[in-house]
Amino acid sequence: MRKKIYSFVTTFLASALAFAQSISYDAASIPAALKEGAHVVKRFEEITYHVKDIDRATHNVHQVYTVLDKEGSDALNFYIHTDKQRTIDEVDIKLYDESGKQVTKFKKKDLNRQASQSGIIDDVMFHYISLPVSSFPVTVEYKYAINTSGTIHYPTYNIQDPEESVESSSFKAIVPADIDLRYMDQLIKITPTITMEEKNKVYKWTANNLKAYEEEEGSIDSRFYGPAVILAPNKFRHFNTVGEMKTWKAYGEWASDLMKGLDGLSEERKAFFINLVKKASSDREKVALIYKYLQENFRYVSIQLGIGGYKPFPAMFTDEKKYGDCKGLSFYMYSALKAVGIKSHCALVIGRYNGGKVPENFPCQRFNHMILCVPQAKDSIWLECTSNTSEFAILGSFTENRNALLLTENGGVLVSTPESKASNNSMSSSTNISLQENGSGNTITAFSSKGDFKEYMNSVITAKKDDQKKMIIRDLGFKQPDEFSVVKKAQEECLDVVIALNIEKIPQFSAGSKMFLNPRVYKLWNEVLPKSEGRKQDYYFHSPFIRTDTTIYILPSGYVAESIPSPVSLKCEYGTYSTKCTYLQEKNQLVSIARLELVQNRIPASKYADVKKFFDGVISEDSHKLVIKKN
Amino acid sequence: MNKFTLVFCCLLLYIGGFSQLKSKFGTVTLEESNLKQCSFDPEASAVVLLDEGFSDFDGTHGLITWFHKKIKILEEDGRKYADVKLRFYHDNDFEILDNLQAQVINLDENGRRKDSYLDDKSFFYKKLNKYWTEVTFAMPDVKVGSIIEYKYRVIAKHYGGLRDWEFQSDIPVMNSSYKLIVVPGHEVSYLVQYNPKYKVDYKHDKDEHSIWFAMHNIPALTDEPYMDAREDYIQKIIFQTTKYAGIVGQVNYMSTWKEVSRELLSRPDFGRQLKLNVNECNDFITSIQSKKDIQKMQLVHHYVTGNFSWNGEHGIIATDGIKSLIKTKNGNAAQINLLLVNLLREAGLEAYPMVVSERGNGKVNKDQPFIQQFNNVYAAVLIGDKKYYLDATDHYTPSHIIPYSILNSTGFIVDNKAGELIDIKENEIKYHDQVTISSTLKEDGELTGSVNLESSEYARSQKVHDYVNNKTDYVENYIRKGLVNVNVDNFSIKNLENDSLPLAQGFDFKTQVQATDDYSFINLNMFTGLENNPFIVNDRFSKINFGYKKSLFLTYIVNLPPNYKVDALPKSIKLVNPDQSVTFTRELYYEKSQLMARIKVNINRSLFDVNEYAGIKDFFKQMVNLMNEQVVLKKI
Repeated sequence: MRKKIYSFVTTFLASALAFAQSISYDAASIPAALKEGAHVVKRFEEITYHVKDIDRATHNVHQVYTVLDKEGSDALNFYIHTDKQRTIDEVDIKLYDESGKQVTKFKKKDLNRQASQSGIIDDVMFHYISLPVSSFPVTVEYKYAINTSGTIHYPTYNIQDPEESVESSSFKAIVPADIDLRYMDQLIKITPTITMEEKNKVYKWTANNLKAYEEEEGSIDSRFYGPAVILAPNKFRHFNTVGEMKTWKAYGEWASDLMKGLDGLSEERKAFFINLVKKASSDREKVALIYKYLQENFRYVSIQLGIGGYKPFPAMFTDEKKYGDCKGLSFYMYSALKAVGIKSHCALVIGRYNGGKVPENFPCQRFNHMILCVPQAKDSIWLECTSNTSEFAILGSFTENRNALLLTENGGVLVSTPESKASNNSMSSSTNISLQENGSGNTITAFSSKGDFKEYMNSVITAKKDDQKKMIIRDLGFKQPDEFSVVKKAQEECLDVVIALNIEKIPQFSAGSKMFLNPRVYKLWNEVLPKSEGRKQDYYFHSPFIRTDTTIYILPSGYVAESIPSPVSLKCEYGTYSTKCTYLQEKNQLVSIARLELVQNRIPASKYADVKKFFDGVISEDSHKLVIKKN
Repeated sequence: MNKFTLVFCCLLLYIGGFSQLKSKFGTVTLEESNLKQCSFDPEASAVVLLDEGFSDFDGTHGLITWFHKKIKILEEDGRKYADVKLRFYHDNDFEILDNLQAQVINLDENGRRKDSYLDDKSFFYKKLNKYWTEVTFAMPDVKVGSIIEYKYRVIAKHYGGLRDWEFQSDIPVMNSSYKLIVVPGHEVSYLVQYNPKYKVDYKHDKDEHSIWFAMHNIPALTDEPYMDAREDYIQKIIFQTTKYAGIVGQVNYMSTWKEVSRELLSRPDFGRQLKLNVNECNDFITSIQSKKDIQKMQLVHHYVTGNFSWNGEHGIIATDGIKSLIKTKNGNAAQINLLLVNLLREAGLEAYPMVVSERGNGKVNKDQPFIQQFNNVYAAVLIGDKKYYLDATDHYTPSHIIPYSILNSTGFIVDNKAGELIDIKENEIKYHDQVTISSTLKEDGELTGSVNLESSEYARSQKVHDYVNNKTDYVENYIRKGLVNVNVDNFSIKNLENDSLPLAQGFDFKTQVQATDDYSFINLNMFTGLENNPFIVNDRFSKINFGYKKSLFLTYIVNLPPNYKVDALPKSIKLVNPDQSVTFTRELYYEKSQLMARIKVNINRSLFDVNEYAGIKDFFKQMVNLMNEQVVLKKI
């Protein structure tokens, strides 16, 4: 499906021979084709990124956008961030009315400043302004310059956001020829012109007349994966370190060098770990014991300090504080394993359920998270060290099926993290309902959960009673109970929880001598998927899963089953759903069983319509009625 | 005031004195170390053992306040309370925060105390923005059973830095106390807002010129649906300096509502803005001179909303003035609405600025002329004997409708003569939706039909807002919300511009009715937006504030094919709450292969007291059950 986007984008690519053109600010001059499906039109863009040397670079931006309607207002929110290695020079923002007449302007001093509050400790400052407008269309012009010391991040040439069309855009990168750069286009076919200017190599990309494309829910985040050209350095400076990025191996070398000498634990602590695992018979067991200790005694605190978020705190520091960020905790786990003679590797990864993969053949810095890999002869152990509840050796949707960069003694090695399996995320439930003649009744449901479901059920257990009630009704889909209890039974591989409810009206409704019962008193699936018409991007579920359920209605005496739904079996390439309902006359019980499985969380765009139809079918089949009648 | 909140007020006069925090840093009682669960809020993941404040002054420093807090972690989840953020106001060096000490107290396996004291390097000072600095620190080695403790001092330049004291928090509080000593020549009045379920101790020491408050065992405060403002329910003390020693003797400062008017009207950034000549708008004013008063009001309101944009800031003070607004075309709410008042007056109307406390900002106490109680300024217009309230930062509410943001609140009209407090209520205008569905069922179970959804008054304003902000997904997010396997086509919307007509939304739909064996079911809850009961929890702290009254009418006609007959119809029924202010009526008719359902929901009050919650909760539960009852058809 990517192919489709390529082809329609290239159709509208004008010749690469774009000359500097005059900028038009009036909304009337926008070609009709560029307004189609667009809330914003990028009228003009000229960006120059100039790498002065390995230490310094400047980034000059000049952009003009026409915002066609309220839904495009995001283009009127200007913000840039600064940190220890990044400063802004000048900022010049102008607003124009529909006819292109300048209405007002803003300078750097007009920007609001707000320190980042994402972590408890970091050093990022945002400079922002929301440009107020009272009617549309409106045109805005941004001009600013950023200076960076340090060159680990070359900017990305983001050509086009969703629901935005492009009239004229160009990006120039100037780099000393002996340093040079690497580039890769993404979702768009575009080649630069390359020239020499004295000692510098000059790359220039141009994109004109691109039609808007649609933003699709559940796809890979378009902010990072829309039509763009990614740039990456060959070598770079970051604070007081110098590294190479030409190969994953070299980049990994730099990242692992940052950790050198920080892994020492005191003899006392080493002895503690050796003692902790002394009874374990295998490495796997030892790792599990130490991981459990980490989960029970350490907490995650976001600290983005220490050379721009790349260098972990020394293991002894983390040991003393009993907290850390992803680097600190992964690295601490690494050090603890080292103390008991087990080798492991910290691994850089993109953490985000729809984060996508870093390109294999294009080493670049897109990682935002660190996990730990313990190599084993068969099935390496992967550990998420920031969670107090994650299961041992199972990566959740945050990091599964990615390219991770292992930081080894021989530099970086790009490997794939294991893909989530449906069997790792399962929830089975069985419910007994004693139904009274007046429609009221008690239900007792035993849930046994693994993976994502286990984490969810854990959150139910620890929630306050009122919140539990909301979760039972809104998430699990039970009817509103008068009384209820949630009891944790056991937690081994699966977490067992029993939820008992007292419900005033169990039937969906009653009429005359009949009661109309739902096949289950809660929902196996109740999420309506986004529309499938014209889907172009792959769709991401959080994880593949299996749900099974057995529901038994004990009918009030005098009642018999009049009509029960026929067995159902739905199927699509990525999922199966089946239900069966039986009436046990001798016990006067109705038994309803169901099983729903999604085998893979990434659904290719071409298959999405089938999957959407499948899940709509599940919801619809789930609302069949069991009819019982008083004899 | 409602009966759940008692308020008293007192003036404090100073003489002198000095005292210290009562509690000592580092002390832990046996009960505290044995505590495993909070007895009065057993689900809490952490509990505040002690929260103490003490304010005094000295000649050079102004207001000095010491804070001391001790929290015990009771569950894993409660460890997040070990990440601490404190703030102070650094603009103009108004406040500084110093003498910060923090530690974690753990007991080892032998029950011996092990303290981890944080060094200065563990405290991070970060300027958040122009005004505030934040101090952050993460406590080390925190586990279930740890006690975290910190203490610090804040020095403010003067008594304007007097902070409200909140007894309650998002985790339960066992002991909270605050003592204030007042500087000579100052008068501080205070309000105690508390729920009589809990007791407030206070001690007034005339010799020391101090007042001391304490509360014990206060459960956590949580947010609730349709809650008007968290601020109204938290147990706290509010202070205002009512008299201070100026350079030339004593100055009375806003101690009556009249003085509030006088003070505001004399300010260059408020009252004087109303007197400025706005020549730039003369042409517009001249062009409407021949219109009737009502039209003039509407035209001026349109003119200001259409030409001046709001920068998102609320406030009652127009620091930059209306001249700057006219020049740059954008400004804060005070600039925009003071310009509105100015122009309304130019147009010959009787108009005043009205300071308001918007939804979420908390209730105005009429006995206390505290200007801090308000967060914004609107325009009040008097035409005949009717008052109109306008906010020109709101593009969606027409002049004749009171903005939702101030419904069921108190405003204060600022004027030396006409100044008064106003209870803003809306009794006539409602949130009204009317849904008409006309459909046909085919023999194969396909149901198709056309829908006309008319939204008037508050429903209109709300939906115009939703539509304009989300045109692309309006059908998906608002019309089809909660419905599965229902296709919606040919959506049209009319009267977007004409705010005196209902917003008419029309569309066709298609679905397959559910069937089991010979039975088929028709869902009556279509396009009503009534799928969930917002009131689930057993108890409630706060009033239910809907703002407006609400009504919904649904007429649903289904033409049946000859091979179906009705097997069971849901009962025609009327449901009412105890005082009959909320009603649900359902009527069903079946005649000659035509089925008709009429459903009416009326909420005839916009505000309900806490003790009415049980009735409302039960009503909504029954109503959602009734809405989910279906018509049963049988194949013949």
